[in-house]
Amino acid sequence: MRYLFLWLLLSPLLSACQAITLRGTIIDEHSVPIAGATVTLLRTGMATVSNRAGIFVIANTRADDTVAITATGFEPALEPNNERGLITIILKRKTVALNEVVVNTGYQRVPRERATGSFAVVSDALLNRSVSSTILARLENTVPGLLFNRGDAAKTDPILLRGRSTIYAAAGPLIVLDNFPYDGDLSALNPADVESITLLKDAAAASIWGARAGNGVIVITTKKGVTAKPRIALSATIGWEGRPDFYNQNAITPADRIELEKFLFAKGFYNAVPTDPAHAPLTPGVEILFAKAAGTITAADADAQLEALKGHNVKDDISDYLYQTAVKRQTALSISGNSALVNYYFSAGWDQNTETLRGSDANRVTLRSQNTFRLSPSFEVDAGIQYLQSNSGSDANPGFDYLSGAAKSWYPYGRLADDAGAPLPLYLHYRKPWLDTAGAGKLLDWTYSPLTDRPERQTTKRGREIIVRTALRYKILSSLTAELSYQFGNMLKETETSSSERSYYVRNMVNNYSQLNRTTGVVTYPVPRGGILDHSSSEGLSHQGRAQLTFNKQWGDHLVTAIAGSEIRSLHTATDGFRHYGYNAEVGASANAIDYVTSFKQFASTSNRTIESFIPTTYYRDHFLSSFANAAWTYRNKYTISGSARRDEANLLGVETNEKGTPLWSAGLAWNVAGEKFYRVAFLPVMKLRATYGYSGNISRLSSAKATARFNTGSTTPAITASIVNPPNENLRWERVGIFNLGLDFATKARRISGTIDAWCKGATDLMGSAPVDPTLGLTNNTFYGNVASMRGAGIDVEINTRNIQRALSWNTTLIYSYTTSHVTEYLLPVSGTGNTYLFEGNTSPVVGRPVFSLYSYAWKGLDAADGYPLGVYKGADSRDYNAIFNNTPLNEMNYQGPVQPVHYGALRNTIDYKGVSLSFTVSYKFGYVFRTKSILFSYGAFSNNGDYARRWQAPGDETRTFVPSLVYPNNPNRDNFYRYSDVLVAKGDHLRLEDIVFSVDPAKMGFGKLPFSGRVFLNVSNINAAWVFNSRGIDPYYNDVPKEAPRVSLGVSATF
Amino acid sequence: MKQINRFTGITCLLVLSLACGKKAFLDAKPDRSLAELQTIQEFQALMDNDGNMNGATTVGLTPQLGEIAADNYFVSDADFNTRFRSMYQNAYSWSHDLYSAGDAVYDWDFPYRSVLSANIALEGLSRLDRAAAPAAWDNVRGSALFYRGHIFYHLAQVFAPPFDSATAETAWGIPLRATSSVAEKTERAHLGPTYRTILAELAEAATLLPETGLYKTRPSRVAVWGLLARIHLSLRHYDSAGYYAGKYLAVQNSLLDFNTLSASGLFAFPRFNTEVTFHCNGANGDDNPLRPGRNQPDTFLYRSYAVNDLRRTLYFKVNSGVLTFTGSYDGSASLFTGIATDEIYLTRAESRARLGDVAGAMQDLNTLLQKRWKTGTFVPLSATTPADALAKVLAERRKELCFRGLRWTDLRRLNQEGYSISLSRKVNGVVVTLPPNDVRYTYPIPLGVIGFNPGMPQNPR
Repeated sequence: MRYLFLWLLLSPLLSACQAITLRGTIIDEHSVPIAGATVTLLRTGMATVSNRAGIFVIANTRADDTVAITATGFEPALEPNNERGLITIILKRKTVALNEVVVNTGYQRVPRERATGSFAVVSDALLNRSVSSTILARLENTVPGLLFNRGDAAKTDPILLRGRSTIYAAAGPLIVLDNFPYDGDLSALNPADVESITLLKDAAAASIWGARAGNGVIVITTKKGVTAKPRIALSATIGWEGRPDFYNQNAITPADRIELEKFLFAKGFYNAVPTDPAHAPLTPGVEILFAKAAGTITAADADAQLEALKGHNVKDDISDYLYQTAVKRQTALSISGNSALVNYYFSAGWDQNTETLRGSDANRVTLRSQNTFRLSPSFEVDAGIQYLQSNSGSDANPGFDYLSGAAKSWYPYGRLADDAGAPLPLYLHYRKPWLDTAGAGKLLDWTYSPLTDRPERQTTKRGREIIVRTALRYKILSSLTAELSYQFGNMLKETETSSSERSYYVRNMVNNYSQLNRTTGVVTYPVPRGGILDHSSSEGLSHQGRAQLTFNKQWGDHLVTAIAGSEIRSLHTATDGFRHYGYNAEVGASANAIDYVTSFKQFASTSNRTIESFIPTTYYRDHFLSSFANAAWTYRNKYTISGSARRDEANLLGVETNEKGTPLWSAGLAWNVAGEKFYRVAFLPVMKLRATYGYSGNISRLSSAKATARFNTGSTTPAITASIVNPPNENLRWERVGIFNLGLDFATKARRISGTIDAWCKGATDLMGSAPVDPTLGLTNNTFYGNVASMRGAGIDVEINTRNIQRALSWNTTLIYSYTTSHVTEYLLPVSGTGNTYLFEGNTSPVVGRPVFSLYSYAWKGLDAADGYPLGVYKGADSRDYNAIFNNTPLNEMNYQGPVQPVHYGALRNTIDYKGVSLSFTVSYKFGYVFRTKSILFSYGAFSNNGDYARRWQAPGDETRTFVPSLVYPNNPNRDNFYRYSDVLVAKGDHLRLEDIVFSVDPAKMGFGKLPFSGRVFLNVSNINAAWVFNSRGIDPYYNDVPKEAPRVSLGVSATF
Repeated sequence: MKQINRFTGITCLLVLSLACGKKAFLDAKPDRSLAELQTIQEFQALMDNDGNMNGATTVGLTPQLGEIAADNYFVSDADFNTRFRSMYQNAYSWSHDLYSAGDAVYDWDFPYRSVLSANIALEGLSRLDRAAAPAAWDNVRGSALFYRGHIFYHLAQVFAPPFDSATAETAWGIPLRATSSVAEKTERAHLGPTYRTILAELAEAATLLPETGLYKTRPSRVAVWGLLARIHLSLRHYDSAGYYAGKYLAVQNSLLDFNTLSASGLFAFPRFNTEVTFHCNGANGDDNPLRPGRNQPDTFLYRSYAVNDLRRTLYFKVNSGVLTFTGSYDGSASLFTGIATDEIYLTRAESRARLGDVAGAMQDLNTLLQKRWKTGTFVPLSATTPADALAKVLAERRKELCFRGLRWTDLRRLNQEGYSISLSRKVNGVVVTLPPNDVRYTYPIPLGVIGFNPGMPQNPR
């Protein structure tokens, strides 16, 4: 600067006015020529543009002139001319300022200041704060608008961006990995490879993805080389997770269960058991009562044995023998660099986990190579390959909720092993006295002892995934780039279950199909003795290609960026499977000549069954052809107008829809208010307003555009017949989601307080659903599956960052808050006359005016003081007519309790740092939703019951202290149904939760001087699950009557050399 | 997995992105388990669905609201009050109010379901090259046209007024749906165009179909002639009716000798017996009064069968404690409404009588009756004048073809001819009547249909 000043002062005196032909070369730090740079001579105003080799020539220049060079993406430079007329100018690449965030839409990268849409970017640093081995899980509690449902709510939608805007179609956001939709298993991706994640929340952001963007888009961008010197990054984490807390599940105590069994035995509940043709199992307590009644043991012995049973809780055995502390290890290594000729990134990741369920483990290997070769200044080639391999295994460990087929669950006083730890049999499938004599010793051993059985049945899941990417980029002009890209993906998944001859599964099946000739004593085995091997596999093949032109030009106060292109995508998915009987794992041989036709008499029941053989295969094809365009114009860095349009054609859509090609579009406006002269709010130097509107779509497989049929043979002829399943629907179209978004970005001086506030509303139309139609159309049931429903939603997303203290000690806080509502506005199918249709979890029963997933309940009038019966309401009057209440109460006479998904949610994160030692913790919150708590059902056939048994009404007066109905025998199932679905068991899901605490140390910042590496050491405690709940029963909605996960403690180190 | 490898080669994206591959690319079937109807064999299978197209399952097909209101039978008050839903009660008692909101009118829904199948087949065929398999292509197209024409005709017998050339261009017929598109609005055609369409499509079908079908559920050229005879008779085009009956009988004139049948079982007639040329059953809701054990033959009708007339014992049995009609050519509780040779003999006999051919009429009648009476007991009938011949033919038509779904059309036609047949019934002690040519001879369009098509003209009742 000093020289420049001096030179400016002296040069006019020194230099004569001789004409010089100026020749120059413009390069970047890596000596890569820069094409399209504007070269201007300040005195004469002469100007030119550098060519592809970065060279420019200007004749007749003055030696005393100054050369100014500007190029997009580089810092401007000034250079004095010289007498030789030959200069080399090195331009510095514009470094992205700390607050300058680039959003990646998957088609282009846009600096955040110029974005009109609602984007959220999650940085590498924030993603690495979490230790979850799946990338998606690391987004939890980092971004407003993104909801991870947990507990019962997770059964509706595990993940939603800005609420639900469909009824029957998939509601999860579209996942884009490195510019192409990702169809593989996201849990197989190594999180260490991820550079950043951009969430596209409104139409201006997402509608470029067209017919698949209706649920929002999550764009994952992987890492690339950044430094000229090779950079080596290494990270390793080890984590431990203790056994779950099984006592969080409210189960009847062993003592109560024994007393209940005595009560039922006395009432005669088990009278039919001795003649039961299915030989249904009984608990040991009931067997003792039978023995006592038969006189095979004395009354005193029986009572003593029953008392002894009360002393043991099966939960302790489950915890001790079936669970363990899980250990999770993650290791990742990467080498990357960026030179004039090549940008390279190579990484390897290795994860090795054991699960809390004994015998279950998982490991994963990821390999990745991503390179860009700069063949000439204007021509680049990308080549990348990614290989993921995951293996997980599990054995026959049944875990805490053993239940299969006709079998019973664990009983409260069950024992898996004796005092010495030797495995014990449990009778969960058939009665012990029957098994002791069944088959007169001719059959295979038929006892089930869970601990012995564990290793005899092994399930292995294997996943393999290869993604190959390539792209060619050619700079046609300095402002115009053409790009062709292609991605191939092959996703393979296999599941193999091998059950040995000794496994209970095989022994039970072989025995059940055994045909015993009682006179000769000869046994034949239709299901051969030997193992059983089940194999299922699925394979996905995807091809995706894109041709795109990108235009970027700045002149004067104007900046225009635009893209246009077209895209093709094909995804084929097939599943297949088989089963081998008589399988010998050692030699890989299996029995042939299995009779799949004959229906064999089952040994343990009166029914006949054929041998299971059929594993259905599926084959799906998704084909898309799309074209898209997006343009934005920024004027004086104050005003930005953007617009986008996309047209999709797909084989899932109707011909008319494809031909009409109505595009999905968006328009947006951003106004940098702080850049205006009139703006004088000194404490808010950053103030930007955004407004957008537009449409994106959602596609579902629920209906087909073409006529489809099912084949059969005639009722009266042998002819092959076809009947229509689905009439043709040439108008079948994607669901449309229109979003209006208003946004505000602001920051105070020095960004002490900064944030983003977005308010949005959306209307979803053409939603898929079934609707009644004109009977003349001839459709089955006169209903038609088509685009018939509508929804509306609205919400607010807020993110506020504050820098509370900024000295040696720094303290930063981030608050995120989301408000999301949605309800059905139109649904053509009539409302069901009986309200109980709307009670069952897992049913999607849309009601106009309500969210898709809503909770309803029966009015509750307390317990009858006389006998502890629950009181409901039927036709406006108090009632105990449980059959009528349950079967006949219409929906409008039931109580609407609220949505099952939170309406208000978010998180608060605090980070305190003192010279490289930092402590951070997250508190999350969810409000405005309800869930149904569990309580005792007097269904006596079960082996275990709910622990509310102890709180049941037992004597008059109890109705003031409890709402649990009295024990009755015989029981009316609808009395249970009424209680189960009554108001009294509905609880608010509202809660605050301490999610995690991260403690980390960064040696580089601790004043040890210069180190050969940078990095950090951290301790992360997640899954803390310390929750402040706001319901009277004190139930954490994340763990509603299920075992509670233990906190996970992880220790990790990461270093970059 | 193997299938996938086969497709890898095909799915060359850059090639597909060219326009030539675009249609195939976007036409690919999204889910293999969904069978899309594409080949001629698949459309033939759609036509061969005897449940949908011939009413071969217990629910039946052709509208029976007419037969329910006709005079072949009565039901007990007890059955009337407890067994039948209100729509059938109202139809039986000729009530001015017929439907209630939400009524499922199978008599409309099932026929239009078969129309949808026919339309899908016709649309599918138009995309296929006939030259690849002309015979199969012709058979499917002919079948679809036949099924559609057949069911449109039966719908018109119930939901459109009797044909009268004077009013045919202003009176309303039925919706002639010719597309499978759910987007296409339903509109009623006028009566003239309704029949012109039916006749034109059947004329085309006759050129496409083989003389006889592989199964009796499949349409054939003979069946087309039989159906044309039936339709022209209903239109009072007696010469045409006789012409087509003659063409039919020239190919198929064999009759079932009732002496060969056993009267011991409940249902005497085998399905697909020799007289049947097109098999079809009437709509047969579980709650309808025509079912055996509920329908009781009209006393005068039953008495009109002579003792040696085998129809007396083969048509009527005691079931559920009542004398009831069980003589369906389906050999089941479902009422046969298809085309059989006995009907065609009677149609030609009537045509001949009306055209003055007394001898010809009596010859046809005697040929038929010979096979209906106990061997050796039948004395051939004779007539002196055409009017005498016609009276004898009509009397035998009533006796032979009762419960065939034909009586309602005959009542409408004969009243147009001036026979002034007035019907009356006693229901719960009240005598109700249906005067000749009453508006109630035309049923209203079902309320559900009007609800979806608010501008559609409704029939008065």
